[in-house]
Amino acid sequence: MIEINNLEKYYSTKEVKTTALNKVSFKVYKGDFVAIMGPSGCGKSTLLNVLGMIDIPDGGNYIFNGNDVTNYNENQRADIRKDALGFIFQNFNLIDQLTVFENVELPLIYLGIKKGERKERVHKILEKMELMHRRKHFSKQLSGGQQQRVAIARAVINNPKLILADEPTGNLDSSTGSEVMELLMELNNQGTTIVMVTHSEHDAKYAHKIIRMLDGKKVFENRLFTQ
Amino acid sequence: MIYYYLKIAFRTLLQNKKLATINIFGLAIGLAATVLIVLYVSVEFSYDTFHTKADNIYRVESDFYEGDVLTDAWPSASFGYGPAIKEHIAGVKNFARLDIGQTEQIVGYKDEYIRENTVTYADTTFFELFDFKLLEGDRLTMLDNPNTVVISQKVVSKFFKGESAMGKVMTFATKEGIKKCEVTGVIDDFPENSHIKFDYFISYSSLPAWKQNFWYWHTAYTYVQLDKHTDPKTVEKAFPAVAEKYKTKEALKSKIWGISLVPLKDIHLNKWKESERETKGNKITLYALSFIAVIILIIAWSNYVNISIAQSYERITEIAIKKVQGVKKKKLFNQFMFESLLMNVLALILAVVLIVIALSEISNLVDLKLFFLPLKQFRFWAIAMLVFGICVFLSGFYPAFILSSLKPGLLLKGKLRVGKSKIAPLSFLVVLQLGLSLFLIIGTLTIYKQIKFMKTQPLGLNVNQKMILKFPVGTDNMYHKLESFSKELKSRTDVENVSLSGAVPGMDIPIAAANKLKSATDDKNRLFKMLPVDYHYLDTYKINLIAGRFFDEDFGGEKQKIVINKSALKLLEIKNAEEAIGKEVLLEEQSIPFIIVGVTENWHQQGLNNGYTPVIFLLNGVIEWIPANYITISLSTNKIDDFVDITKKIWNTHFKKTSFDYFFGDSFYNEQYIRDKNDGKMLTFFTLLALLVTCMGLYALAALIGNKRTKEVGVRKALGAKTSELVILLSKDFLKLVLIAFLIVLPVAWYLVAEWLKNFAFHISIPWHLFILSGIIILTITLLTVSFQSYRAAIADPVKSLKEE
Repeated sequence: MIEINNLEKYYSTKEVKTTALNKVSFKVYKGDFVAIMGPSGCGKSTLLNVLGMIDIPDGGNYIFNGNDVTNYNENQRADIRKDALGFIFQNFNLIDQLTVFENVELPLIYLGIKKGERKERVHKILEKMELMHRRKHFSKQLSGGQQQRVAIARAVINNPKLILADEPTGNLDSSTGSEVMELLMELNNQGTTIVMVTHSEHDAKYAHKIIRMLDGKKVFENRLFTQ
Repeated sequence: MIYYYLKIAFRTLLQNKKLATINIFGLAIGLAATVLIVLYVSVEFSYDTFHTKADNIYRVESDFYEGDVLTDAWPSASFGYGPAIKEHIAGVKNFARLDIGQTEQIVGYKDEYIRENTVTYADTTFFELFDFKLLEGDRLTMLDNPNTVVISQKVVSKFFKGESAMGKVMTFATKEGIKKCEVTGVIDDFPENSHIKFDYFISYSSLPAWKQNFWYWHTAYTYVQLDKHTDPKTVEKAFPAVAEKYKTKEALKSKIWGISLVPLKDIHLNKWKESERETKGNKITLYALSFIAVIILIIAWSNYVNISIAQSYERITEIAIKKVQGVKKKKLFNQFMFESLLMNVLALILAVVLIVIALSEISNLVDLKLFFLPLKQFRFWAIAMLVFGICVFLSGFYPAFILSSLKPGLLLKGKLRVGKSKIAPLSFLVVLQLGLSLFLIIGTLTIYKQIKFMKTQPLGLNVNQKMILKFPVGTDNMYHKLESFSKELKSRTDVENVSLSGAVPGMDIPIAAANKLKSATDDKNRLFKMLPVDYHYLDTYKINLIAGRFFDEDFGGEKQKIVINKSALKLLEIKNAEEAIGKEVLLEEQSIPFIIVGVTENWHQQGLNNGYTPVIFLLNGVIEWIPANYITISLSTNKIDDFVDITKKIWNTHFKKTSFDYFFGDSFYNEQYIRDKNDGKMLTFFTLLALLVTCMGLYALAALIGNKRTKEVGVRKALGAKTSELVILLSKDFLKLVLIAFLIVLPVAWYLVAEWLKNFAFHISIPWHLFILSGIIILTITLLTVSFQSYRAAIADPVKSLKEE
């Protein structure tokens, strides 16, 4: 599903040029659950952003679903994000001004789906996430675990082929963290590919494959299970 | 999608009620001010535009030249210009004259007599040229016969109360006698936006025959209608040659008699000239007001832009998430533009409310009926929509553009810092706001200083404690009756003096004559104002004599004597006052020379926007066509009401059938400044609005910046910074902006103030200390506004701010 070859990414300020990604290559297959690990500043979030087409690499190439998307323009990348990707963040990134229902509904609005169908789909997923009773609440009225469940619901509402999760349990206590991981695993079992950045060895155990990074380089790749 | 935009916009508004209020109120004030100013300005520009022939009608105004130098310019022409232009110059279709020489007459019907100042003699063509609405009568023929009059609806309700006025006979009395006229037409009352406003149009043929085409009396407003393809310049050029045939008398013979054809639509806003009847509009004020409208709008927009950008910090998640979800830039841009539209619509609604509240104030300044006239015009709405569109675009574009182009990767990392990044509020907008406000403050203070200067300047005479009566209707022995009337008054202990004269201070002396020293050549004929007075005028008004003496009964034989003022001295080319005594002067149309017996100091006959007037005094009645018109009573009592009652009683015993009309010297004099004062008031009002909007913006900005820097403040506090140091730290940036604004505005304001002051013949020097004062005012306002917010940020609990994130 994903193939990256010699990806490079630099950040430069006036004084220094920092290498965030240094010739990183790997493949992610359909239905995979990959955990990217490494210390702070090793480039794992940058890698995730590049995979999520939020960031553009400075070198190497990126093949998504058989298409070379390295040189896609902003609009083309936005289309892929809209149709095929779902994002989950450490700090949830829910929109404060919107209710739970509206946050989850948002991607569907921009996909141009009709109101009736939107309502049906959002209700279905909120039920699954056990958030129906909270649907009219604003994000600030929810606990961290609930907020992350809303974020997950939002990430999967468009049935993405790939979910990109950036330390999804980083702001949660361990038991809520486990709940979230169970949810992700369930999604993976239903066929969604997942790439997750994490610090937590515990969370990494849910993955099929672990990629370890240091100073922008991939230093280790280990497949835990084969599908 | 719109519903969704609406929802998120309203929730953002509610989340930041204070900012939303500031934003909407600022925009509303800006819009309300603009609408008011646009209405006012369009009324002023709509004068005389409602006549179908307006584009081809011009007023003939007289210009006198000596060589290339324009020596005199009047808005009127002589009675002879109109017919001569039509006869000798090609391309002139028609003309019509209005005599303004005797606009004040006592009008009577049955037993009612009212002194009116709206009487004119009109050519029969007048109502062909102009489309004033006719209610009764035949437009083309109603002024054909002598002793006929066309009156306005207002007069009908005043004199005829329900009766038909047609065919009735009214009397018109002046000092010269009484005329009876039959009403042959009724016109609707004049629209407010007409520079011509009369209530009685007596047929032109009612004037004495000698006057009807007389070339030496320039008291006829003359309007010509040109053929469509005639260039008014060609008519102007052809006129002096035509005039040569007619200017056969000695007076002004050496001058070139020229004309300017002033387009009808331009008359109202052209510069005021002597013997102009209407209160003219002031183009400078209109431009200034329009400029202020733009300034206030810019300030309000700047607020919106700055607040939106500063506030966007709180919307980064929203923007980032949408981007991550594949929402394209264009969609986000649309969303923010939509929010701008929404804010502007809300502001517009509020603006309408503000205008309604302000209506009673406005009605003191202008006629409301007229004020809302533009609302019926398509053009007004087109302009309004355009301005509103620009408003939405300008306030929405920059924030929408910036916000929609942010990179989602950075947003999610929280790497965007307000302060140095491109989402920092735009300092230049703040400088712009401060600069414009500063400019308005300087402008307002200067105007007030100038008005105060004009009011307090020694006038060279004393207009206080003067009750001025208008002359009675002419009857047999009028002068005799006047004399006994004044004698009776003078015998009273509360009367200091009584004087009869042709004009009083504060008005244009109506008659000018071409005179010269007897020893001078004919080309030295110059125009002087001729002021007929009695022996007491100088004492009554306390005008200083600098040489010789004033008229004195004891000398006897004063009829061939004149007294001149300093300004006249200069015009006669006499070097000093002493030298003038005994010199002989030839007055226009007089064969025997007059001898100068005294010279007075100059005084301000009219407001200080005019220069000193060259005046020649002569005794009342010496020259028949230079009559006296006013009785000035100098009082020594403060019980004005009682005094007026008593005077009226005395008046009625001497003059029957004449209305008793009076005014007071000081208030009459100050009426000249009403326009300036109103302009000043308006400018102040809008300046305050501009300041208010600026302050609102500063306040909001300071609050937002305070919020953004809470962490910095927390760290500094933890490291031991004092509250006062933090307040200074947070306010410092704004002070820098004030300084920059001051330095930019200073030269511009200096230049404009100097230019404006040039409009006044007597003016203050450039008030540099007002510049400093304005700087201090704006600095203080900024400091107060900003430091309040900075203080709040500085006293916040550091632990709290450090724990966040």
